[in-house]
Formats: sequence, C-alpha cells, structure tokens
Amino acid sequence: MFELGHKRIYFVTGKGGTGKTAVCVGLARALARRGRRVLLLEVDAPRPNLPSYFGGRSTYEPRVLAPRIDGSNLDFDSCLQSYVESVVPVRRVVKLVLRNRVVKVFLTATPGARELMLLSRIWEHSHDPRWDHLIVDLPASGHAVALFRCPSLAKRTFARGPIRIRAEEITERFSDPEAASVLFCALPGEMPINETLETRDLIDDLGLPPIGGVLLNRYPDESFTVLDRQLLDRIVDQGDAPEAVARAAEAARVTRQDQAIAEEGLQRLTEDFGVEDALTLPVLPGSHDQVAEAFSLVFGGIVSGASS
Amino acid sequence: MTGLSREQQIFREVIAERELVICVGSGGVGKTTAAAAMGIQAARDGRRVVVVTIDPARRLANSLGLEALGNEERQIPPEKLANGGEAPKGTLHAMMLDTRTTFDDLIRKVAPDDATRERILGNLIYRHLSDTLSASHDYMASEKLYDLHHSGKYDLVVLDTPPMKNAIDFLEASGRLSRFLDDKIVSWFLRPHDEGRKRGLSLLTAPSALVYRLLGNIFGNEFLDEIAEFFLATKDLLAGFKHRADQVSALLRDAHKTRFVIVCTPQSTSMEEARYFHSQLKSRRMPGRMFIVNQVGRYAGLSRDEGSGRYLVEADRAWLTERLRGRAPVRKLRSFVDRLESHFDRSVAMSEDDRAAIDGLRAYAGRRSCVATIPRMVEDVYDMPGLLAIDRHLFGDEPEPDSES
Repeated sequence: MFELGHKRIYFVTGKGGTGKTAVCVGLARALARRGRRVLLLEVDAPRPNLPSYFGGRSTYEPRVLAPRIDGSNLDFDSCLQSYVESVVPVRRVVKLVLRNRVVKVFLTATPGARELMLLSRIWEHSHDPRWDHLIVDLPASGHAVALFRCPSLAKRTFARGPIRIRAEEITERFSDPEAASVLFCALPGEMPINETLETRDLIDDLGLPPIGGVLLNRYPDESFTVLDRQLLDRIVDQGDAPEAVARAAEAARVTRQDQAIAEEGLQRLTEDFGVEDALTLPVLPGSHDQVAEAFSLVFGGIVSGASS
Repeated sequence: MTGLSREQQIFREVIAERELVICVGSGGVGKTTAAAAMGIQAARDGRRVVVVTIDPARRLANSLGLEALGNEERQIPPEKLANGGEAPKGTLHAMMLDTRTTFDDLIRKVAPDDATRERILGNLIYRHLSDTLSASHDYMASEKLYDLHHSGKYDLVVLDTPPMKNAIDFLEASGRLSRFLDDKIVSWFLRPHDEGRKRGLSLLTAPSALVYRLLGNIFGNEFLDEIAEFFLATKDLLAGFKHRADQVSALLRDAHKTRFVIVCTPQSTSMEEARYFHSQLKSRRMPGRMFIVNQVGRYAGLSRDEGSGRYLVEADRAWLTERLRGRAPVRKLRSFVDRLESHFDRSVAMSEDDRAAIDGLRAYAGRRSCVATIPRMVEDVYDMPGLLAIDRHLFGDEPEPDSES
C-alpha cells in the first residue's frame, strides 16, 4: 500500500509541469481533513504558486491558507536573515551583516550556502510543534538534487563552526526514515520517466531524504482493449470512413498510444520504486485547483487507510 | 499549399534573418524539439546553423543522425536533412552543453598564464562553483552562446535553454557574474588576505572588519582563506570575464540579432509560465513576443448534429455497425461504439479548452505578437519525419500534407 501520512516531512519533487504543487496541495487538504495540522512550504519560488490555490499572497512568515493548513514561501533573503539572527544575537549587528553587499556575494560564491540557508529554515520548521506535517514543494529535479547535496558539501568544506553543526543536524533529521520522505511526481513518456529515475538514483546515493514513492500523473484511464484496437485499425484500413468517424478513431488511437506509453512508463517506475510505492493519478479536466481537490480525494483514501 | 499564415511568415523571417534564436519555457513542453525543428528548417533554407541543447536524451541525437551529442559541435549528415529530396544548401551542427567542460575551457581561454590557470582549476572553491552553483549552468549557456556567435562559423545559433525553476536565471546569468566579479567586492576579500594577515585587521574600516570577523565565526577562518585564495587567483581574469558577460548581455537585447521564442503547451500551468516569462522578457527589454504552443488538441470547432446534439450522427453509427459487423460480438461492438463516441466527446471538449487557452494567450500578448500552434502529433516526434512535420506547421510551404493523414 502506498504510504502517505506517517511521516512528518514530505518533500515533493519532479520536473516542471508534473503537477508537484497540485500534489502538495492535495496532500495538505487530505491530511487537514483527517485533523492534522499542515505547513505547506514553497522553496525560493520567484513566482509562488500557492496563492493561486488559496488566494491571498505569499509570505515568508507562515500564514493561514485554509483550516489547519498554513503556507510559507521560503525566499533566500528571509532564510538568510533567520539564519544570521540565530547565529548573531545582536539585532544591530544582524542588520549590518545583511546590508553588506559583500556578504551576499560571499554567499553566492560559497558552495551550497544558499541551499543550506533554505534547508536550515525547513529544519527549524520541522521542530515546530504548531504543525504535524511539513509538505515541501521542491524546485524542479536538478535543483532539488543540488539542495540535498549541500549538507554533505558543507560538511566537507567546513571543518567546524555553526554551519558545520547545522549541516550535521540537517543530515540527521532529513535522512531519518521515520521522519522524512521524498515523493516524486512524474509524467508518462520516455524522457520524463528517465529523468525521474535519474533523480531517484542521485537522491538515493546522497542518502537523504529517504525515497518515499512515485506519483505518475496524467495516467490515461481510458481503456481501449486489444479488441478495440483491432476495431480501430479496421476503421482506418477501410479508408472511406465518414469524417467524424475517422476523427473519432484517430483520437482513440492517440489515446491508445498514450496508454501504451504510460503502461510502459509505469512498468519502469515500479521496477525501480517497487509496486507498493508507485501510484497513478488520472488525467483530470478543470482548473489546477480542481485538480488538487481531486487529488486530495485520492490521497484521502490512502491517508484514512493508514493506521495512525 | 498557397500562401502562408501570418505566424508562418514571421517564423520564416526570424530563421532567415536573425543570428540567435533562444527557446525558453518550462521542462517537458517540447522546447528541445522546437529548437531542433527550427534549426533543420533554417539549414534547409541555406543557412549555417548550430543547435545547442542541454537535453542529454540520446534519442534526439539519433533522430538527427548522430551517435551522441558532446560539448563540441558535430555536423548532421546533409542527407538526413534532405529527407529523400535535394541536398540542402545550408549546414546543421548540433551540440550538447556540458557545464563543467565549458567552464574549464573558459578559464583556459582567459587565464593569462599556465600557473594562474592551474591554480584556479585546482582550487576547491572553483571546483564546487563549477559543479554545484545553479547559476553556473545558465552562465555557461550564455558563455557558449557568445563563443558560437562570435566564431564566424554560423549564421544562426539556436539555443535550447536549461529547464529551470525560473528561466529568468538564464537572462540574468551574465549580469550576475559581472556583479559577482565586481572589482570592489573582490578587493574587499583580498585585503584581509594580502594585508590583513600581515598587519592585522586594524587596517580595515571598522564595519568591514566586524563583518569579516563575523563571517569567520560563521564559516570558519580556513574557509575564508580558501575564498580569498580563489579571488586572488581569479583577479587577473576579471577584465576578460566582465567583457564577455557585457557582450552577452548586449546581444540578448539586440532586436536585430536576437529573438526569444517562448515554448509552452495549452495546459493552464504552462500558459501561466509562458505569460510570466513574456513579462520578464518585456521588463528586460529583450525581444520576445513569439510563442510556440505545442501539443494542441486537433478537434476544436467541430459541429454537432443539430437534432441529436452529437458529433457522430446516425449515418456514422450505421457505417460503423455495417463495416465492423462480424468483427466482434454484437454487445461488445455496441459498447465499443459508445466508448468511441464518449471518448471523442471528451477529446473535442479538451481541444476546445486548448483553443480557448490559445485565444487567451493571443489576447494577452497583443496584436504585434506571434502565437504559432503545433497540433498534437499522432506519431512520436523523435525522428526526422516527425521534426519535419513540425516544420510544416511552423513554416508551411511544403507540398506534403500532414504526415498522419
């Protein structure tokens, strides 16, 4: 059975357009309906997506989006401020440091510093008793890998000091299979599946976060059988089908082909993730908010089936 | 086919006259395919073209007739482009961008001597920077661009940008590097290293010394030394770096040479990103306004039967029953026809959603913009015939009808 609802932290990653944010929102809603308190996090999003689901605007300080769902966009500057505040106790000095242009440049040059500031804030939230779950809408796959590579990078770069300690704390927390898990959003098609499997391997090598499962989105539920396919071929072979029939048959063949591609993709995903850890999500019409709502119903069945 | 649509004319003009076409958009919308298709058409029209992709998929390389793509340009065999017809007048090269190699090449190019070069390539900070800094990918794309554009070997460079969480990273990469390598900032780091170490931090102004000490507390002094060493080593490269970065920045804004093409699909998230990217280009005064909407449903605008309100009329159903008789049990046949019809209903509805989304994009982008559409292909487009089919939609003027009809 696909696992949802046991972990405190769910990281969600995947290529752009795979439905990451809709999955995050759907999961948050499903958990909130079970009485859990959820914090939804966007990571350094230049154009935050959450407002288009919940209205209002996006803020760094967690803000109520819906009953039992809070949201926050972790922008780098604010994360940096939070971090410097945690290391430097004097307010005036904090301001001085943050106003300094050189510090900004320094942090750009410092390997993994930017990513570490972001992870550090997620780490802080993961200890906050206000929430039962954190759902983190990660940036697209490549950036997500860079994000999780940074604690080990920081450990190699810094022999001691506060950054090193924080990097160790982050590693311990986010690699704990009881606490954290990463979910992958994928789309059918050879290339998106390739990328999903590559990212999975990279994250698996890093050891954090523990691999959760994969959600294969836009999985065609239309089933044309083998017999149907023969009938469709027959229609096309006739060559003199009325226009509407020819078009309907063509549309069905496209779907049939999509279905074959999706089945092959699912096959490859289950070989790597395991049958238990792959879930398909249907092609849904409507706005992204309606899609998220439909996802929440799918996830609701899984969350309610959980023992906790 | 007589006469080209306004969009086809504009796309023809762009690949005939510009020197740089940059495809932008989120991942999975067919950006690489669009870049390859435009490159092919331009080469067939007689230009010397290079397509730069970041897509490591071998399938695309294979479809262009190559084993694999590397960081060096390779020529596509002319007979592949000819597609059975006359050999093209132009040439097509393709390459895949490799960030690390490009970065190393750049250092070799701008380093004044062997010692400096080796010092930088061996520096810990440099190795991390070139591998992990997310900006370095974008920066290297623009660096390669500068190189290819200035080589004189090509009339047209088509660039497929990295799929980034925000494609604006690419636009800002060159400017960011200039800021990053700002002389004043570098010298700030160098001071404590050169002089501060010898004479103590007292030489620095009080706030600088305080910030430096704080950074030391947070990051550790050994690391500060490593950073200072890196800046010291790169000091001599600054002028070269900055010059190139400024050139790239100017090229991206030159409407006579450059066009951005925003690639998207009709899905709402992709459309929103396209608009966002359009606004970003506009605010940077970069020549945008061109869109390719991929994977557009083909069944918009069909009329329903007036009496029944259906797309399949009685005669259609009769034809199906008649022609498929004996191919399946009657009950299964009826179920098949029903499912065929309901599936078609949904296909039409989705195609109409697509059309509405495209109309919305056209209204948003304004009359002076150009929104081209490419229908959802029945067959896979990862081969030469598929790419040529895309070209027929983008550029028109080919004797062949649609490949799938």
